[in-house]
Amino acid sequence: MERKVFDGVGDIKFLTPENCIFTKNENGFIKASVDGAEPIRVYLYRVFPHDMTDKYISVTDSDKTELGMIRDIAEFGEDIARVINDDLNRRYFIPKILAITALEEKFGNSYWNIKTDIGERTITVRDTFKSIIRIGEDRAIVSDEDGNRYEIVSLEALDRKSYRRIELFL
Amino acid sequence: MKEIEKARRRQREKLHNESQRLFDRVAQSSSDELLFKFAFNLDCENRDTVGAVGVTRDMLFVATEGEKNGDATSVTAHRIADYTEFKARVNIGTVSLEGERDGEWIEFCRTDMTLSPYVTDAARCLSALLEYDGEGTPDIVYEPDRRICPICHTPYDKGVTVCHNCTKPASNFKRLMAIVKKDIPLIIVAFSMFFVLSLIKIANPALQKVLVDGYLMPSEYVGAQEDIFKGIITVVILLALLQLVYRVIEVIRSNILVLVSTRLVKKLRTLLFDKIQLLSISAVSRRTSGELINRMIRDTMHISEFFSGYVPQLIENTLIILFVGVAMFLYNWRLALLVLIPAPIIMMITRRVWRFTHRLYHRQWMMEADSNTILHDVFQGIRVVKVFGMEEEEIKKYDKAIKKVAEVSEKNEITWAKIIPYMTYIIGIGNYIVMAFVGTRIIGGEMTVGDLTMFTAFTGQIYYAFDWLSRLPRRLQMTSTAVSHIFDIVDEEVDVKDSEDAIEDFEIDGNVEFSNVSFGYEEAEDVLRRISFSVKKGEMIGIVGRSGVGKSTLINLIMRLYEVREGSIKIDGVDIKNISQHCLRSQIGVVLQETFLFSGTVLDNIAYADQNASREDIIRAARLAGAHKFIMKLPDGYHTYVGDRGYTLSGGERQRIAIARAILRNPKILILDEATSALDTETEQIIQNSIAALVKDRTTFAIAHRLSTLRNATKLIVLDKGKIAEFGTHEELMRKNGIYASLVLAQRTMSTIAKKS
Repeated sequence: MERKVFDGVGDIKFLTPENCIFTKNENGFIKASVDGAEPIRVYLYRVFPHDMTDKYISVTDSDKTELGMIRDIAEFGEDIARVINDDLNRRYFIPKILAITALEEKFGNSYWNIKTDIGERTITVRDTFKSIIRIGEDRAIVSDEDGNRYEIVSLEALDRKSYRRIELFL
Repeated sequence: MKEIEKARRRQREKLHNESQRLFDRVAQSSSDELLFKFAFNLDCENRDTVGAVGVTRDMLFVATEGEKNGDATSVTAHRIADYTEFKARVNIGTVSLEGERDGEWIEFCRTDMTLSPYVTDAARCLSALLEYDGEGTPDIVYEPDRRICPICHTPYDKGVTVCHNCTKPASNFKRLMAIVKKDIPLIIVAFSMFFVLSLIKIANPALQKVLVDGYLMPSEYVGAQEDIFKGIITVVILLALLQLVYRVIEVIRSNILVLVSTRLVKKLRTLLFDKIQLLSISAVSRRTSGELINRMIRDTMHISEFFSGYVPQLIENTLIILFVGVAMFLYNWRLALLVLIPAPIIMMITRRVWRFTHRLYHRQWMMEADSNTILHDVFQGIRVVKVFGMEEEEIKKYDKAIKKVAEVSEKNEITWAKIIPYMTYIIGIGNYIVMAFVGTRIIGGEMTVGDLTMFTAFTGQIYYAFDWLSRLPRRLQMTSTAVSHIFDIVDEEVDVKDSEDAIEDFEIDGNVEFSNVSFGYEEAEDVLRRISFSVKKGEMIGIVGRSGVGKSTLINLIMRLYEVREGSIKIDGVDIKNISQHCLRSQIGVVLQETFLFSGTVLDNIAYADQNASREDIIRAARLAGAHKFIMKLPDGYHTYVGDRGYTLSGGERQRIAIARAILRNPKILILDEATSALDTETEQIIQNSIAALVKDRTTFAIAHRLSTLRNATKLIVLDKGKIAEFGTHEELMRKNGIYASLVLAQRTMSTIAKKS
C-alpha cells in the first residue's frame, strides 16, 4: 500500500492502461498519450535501475518533467510491455560480462579481455578498485575508461578462472 | 600485457577498416566535398554493427552494413535543411545522433561511449550548419580527435592532454630531471660516491679472504708469530677504516639526496599550486578538494621518497651486481657461472611473489579504507545517527566491515608466514652451491677457506641485490603514476585563457551586452541557449527562474569563470574575452549565498577585497554594510579571529562581512547570488538596507528566490529551459501574466499561509 505523506502532495501519479496509451512511432520512438492528451514523445527512466528493471519506470517529456510513473510494466499487457521494454533496452546499454579471459594490471590501470553477451571486448579500466562497484553481495558494475559500463550479474556464477582474475579487486 | 594491447588495437583497426569501405560508399553518393565523417558501432537496438556517417554542406549520409555478407550496404541521405534541430542524446552507455523533422525525431546513428566524442561533436557541427546561410564556406570545425589520444584512441579525461595509456615512465622521469636540472652537479657527486661505496663493499670480502688465508689458516709458512700478529691487526684496522669511510660517505650522499629531493618536492608543489590557481573553476571543481590535496601532498611525497630512498638503492644494487659479478668471474669463472645461472630464475620467482603479496595487501588496505569511511561518516553525522536512533545499525555495519578486514588480514598474514621462509631459503640457495663447489676443492687443495668466506659473502651480496631489484618495478610504477598524476594537472590546458593582446587597464563603465550566448558544462547539453539582452550602466537586473535553470551559470559567465561556447558577452562594447581576467574581475564585486571566510581576522577578511585599503576605508565599508556594530561587540573588535578555528559568526554576520568586502572593492559591476536567501526576514531587512547602499550607481545582477528582494530591480530576466522566457519590469511582467506573475502569486499565497498558521 502506498503511504500518503501529505494530502495530495506526496502522491505518485501512476500511469495505467486506463489513463495512458503507449505507442511506438515509425522512427522507433515511444510516444505516450496521458489522460487523453495529444501523444508526445516520452523518455523512460528506471527509478531503481539496479534491482527493479521492469518496475517503477519514470515517464518524462523532453523537458524532463515527469508525466507519471509505471508501477509494473506487466500491467500494460504483453504487447505494450514489449514496446516499453524495447525502449528501456535502447536507453540502458550495459553489456553483461560472461567471462574474463585476461586481466593485466599496470600503473593502477587494468586491461581486460572480456566475453560479453554482445561479443568480445578489450577494455581499459582506470583505477580498478574504484571502477568496480558492488551491488549487494553478488553483483558488480564495471566502468571502463571510455565511460562504458558492464555488468557482472553474478560473481558467484563466474567461472573459477574469471573470478580469480578479479577477486583481488573486489 | 602486450596481448591485450594488441587485442585493443585490433578492435580499433577492425572498426576502422570496416568503416573505410562505408566511407567510400558515402563519398560516392555525394557530389559535394565531405565536411566531416565518423564511424559508429551500434544499431538502434544496441547490437554490434559497423556504420559510417558523412556530412556535406547540405546533406547527411548514413551508411550501414545490411547483413553480415557485406554486400548489402545501404546509404540513406538526409537533407540538413529539412531538419529543425540536431541533438546528441546521451543514454546510459550509448550516445545517439538525432534530428527533428516536422516535429518528429529521427535517430541517425548510435555508438557506445568509446566513440561518443565523434557523435557529440557532430551534433554541434550540424547545429552550426543549420544556421549557415549558404554564403561562402560554412565555419565549422569538427575535431572530436582533440579529445582522443592519437596513439591508443582512448578519450582523454576532460581538459587533460596527456594519455594515461601512452605516457612512458621514461618520459615522465625525463621531465622530472628537467625540473632538478640545477641540481645535476650535486647528483653527479652523489653518483660518484656510489662507485666508492660499491667498491668498498666488494673490498670487504676480499680483505676477509686475506685475513683467513694469509694469517688465520695459512696453507704454508708465512712468517713468525709476531709478523702474523701484526698482519692481522693491519687487516682489521684496514677493515675498520674502510667501514668508517663507508659510513662517512654514506652520510654525505644521503644528505645530498635529501637536499635534492626536498627541493624537487618544493618545486613540484609550487608548480602544482600555481597551475591550480590558474585553472578555471570547471577544471578545479571536476576534482574533489581531497584529490587535489592528495596530489599536492601525497604524490609529491611519493616522488621525494623515491628519489631519496629508492634511487640510491637502485644505483647501489646495480653497481654491486656489476662489480661483484666481474670480481667473481675474474677470480673463478666456473663458480661465478654456477652462482649466477639460477639468479634470473630466482628473481622471476621473487618478483611474482612480491606482486602477489602486494595485491593481497592492497586489497586489505582498500578494505581498511572502507571501514574508515564508515567511521568518518558516523562521527560526522553523529547527530543524524542519534536522532534517527540508528546506533545499533551503525554498530552492526562497522562490525561487519572490521570483521571483513580481520578475515582478510588474517588470511594475508598466514599466506605471508607461509611464503617468507621459503623466500629466504630460495634467496640463500646460492650459498649451498658455493659451499659444495669450494668445499670439494678445499679438500683437493685447489681453493682455500678464505675463498669460501669471500664467495659466500659475494653470493649473499649479489642475491640480495637481485631480490631488491625484483621488487623495484612495483615501486617504479607507483612513482610513475604519481608523476603522471602531477603532470596531468601541470599539462592541463587552461581553458579560460587571456589572449596575448588582452587589455590590462580597461576601465569598466557598466554597460553589459549578451548576444546569442550558449553554454553547457557537458559537451552534449546546453544549459543556456542563445541568450541575448543588454543592460545599461547603473541598472539592476533581477534574474528569476526555477532552480537548475542556469541563473548562477549566467553570472559565472559574466565573471568569465567559464568560457561561453557560442556568442559573446560585451562590456561597454568590448568582448570580455579581450579583457584580461584580472582586470575584469577586479572591477566586479560578488556576494554569494554562502560566504566563505578565510582563517584570519575580520580585518583580513574584509581587506581581502583590497589589500591596500586604509583602516578607515575598512571601517567605512563595514559601517555601510551594517557590520561595524556587531564587529565592535566581538571581543577583539576587527582583530577577532574568524574562519575555520576561530570565532563563529552567524549567517547574517558573515553575509554583512561579505557585503563589506564587496563595498570595499568599489566594483563597477555587482553580483548578488542569493545574497540574502539564507537569512531570516528580519536580518534580511537589515541587510537589504546595506545592499541598497551597495547597489547605488552600479550595474547589478541579482539572483533571488524571494522575489520581494528584487522589487528594486530595473528589469527582470525570467529564465526557463535555458532560454529567456520573459524580460521586462516588474509591472510589465505582472501584466503579461506569465511565468513571473505565477511565481509572484505562488509566493504571496505561501506567505499568507505562513502568516495564518
